[in-house]
Amino acid sequence: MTMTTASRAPRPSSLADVLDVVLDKGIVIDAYVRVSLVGIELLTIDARIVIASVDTYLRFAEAVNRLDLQPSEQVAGLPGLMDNMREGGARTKTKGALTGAKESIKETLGIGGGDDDEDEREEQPAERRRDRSAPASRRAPARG
Amino acid sequence: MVLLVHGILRAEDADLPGVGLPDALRPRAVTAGPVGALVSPAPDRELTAQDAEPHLDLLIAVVAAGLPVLPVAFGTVAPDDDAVREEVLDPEAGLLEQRLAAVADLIELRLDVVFDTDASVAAVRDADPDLRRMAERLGGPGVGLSERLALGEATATRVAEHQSALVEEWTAELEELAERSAVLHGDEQLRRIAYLVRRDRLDDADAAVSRLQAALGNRARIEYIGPLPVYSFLDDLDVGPSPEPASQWGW
Repeated sequence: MTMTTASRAPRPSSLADVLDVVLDKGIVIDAYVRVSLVGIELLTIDARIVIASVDTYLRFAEAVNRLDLQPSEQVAGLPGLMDNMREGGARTKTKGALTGAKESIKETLGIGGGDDDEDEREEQPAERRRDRSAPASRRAPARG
Repeated sequence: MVLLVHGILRAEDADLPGVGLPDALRPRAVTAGPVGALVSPAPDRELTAQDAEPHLDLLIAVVAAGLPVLPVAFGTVAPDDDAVREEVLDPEAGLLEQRLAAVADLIELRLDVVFDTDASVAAVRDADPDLRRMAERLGGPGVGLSERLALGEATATRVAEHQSALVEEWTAELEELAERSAVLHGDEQLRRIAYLVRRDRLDDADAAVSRLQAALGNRARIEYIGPLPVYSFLDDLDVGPSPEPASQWGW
């Protein structure tokens, strides 16, 4: 990466980021001329977000684990977390990243235009979002 | 013929002077009074994600040619020219004209700040004795997952604060030269910020980003996009009766 020149790109390079720019952004014509997009685009974006979120979580868990000063903990720490995540028990930990991504995709897609499946999938993170306001005391009472 | 509607422009720009047209589209303008709609023949199939690229490329080309344009939501179609005039242009001609005037000298730039998570964690760990104590306690017997998650959460909170402070510091110059800004996305990896910038300040913005790039070190990398149509500021455009750019965006 050059340190002295601003490398300004005319538009995002990935298709997903292009969609992030144009989907339900811009002037919406409130008339019969508007059609909604087919479901496959929505699925494409959804998959991208989930994959990116899990990746974020894994990298973050790894970074936190390195805070352990005891060498033995470095052996036990990450595998423990990952086992738990495989069982689904660590969803509470991942919900931050997932919720953030989902929130953003909800904004991108504009809720209410999708089919039933879409609505159902998008309700879940909204509920998690409400949980998020007081996770510290619930998950870790000892933290103070 | 079914038409894709890409954007709204001034009727006087209907010939698209200086616009480098994307190969994938055959765009033209349908005009009514002072405004026009940028349309192209719709493909004889359902739209796919790939159709978003020429749509955006076309709007970007119009912006690059120095013409004001209002982006229309991707996926907007009309059955024919008359429908474009009757449903899109005529009902809001005055408002569209005002909005076009309001964006005439403005562009949108976007900055992605992509943080190195390890660098952020190391920074908060070095700066926070509490965090180190929490980590040390994890070495004791009978310490379980909840303590571990508490440490992770405390770290995440401090990382978020740390990154917010950095972004504020790093983008101060852009904030100063931009008319307005909007945070489009924020998590522990990515901050995406849109800036509404006057066209004649694009060089200043480029210079500011260059300096920012030099200051980042290993803490983050940036992606810098634009000029785009003013997607992120359409709802808040000042469409007052006297669009004097110098005073209009004063706040």
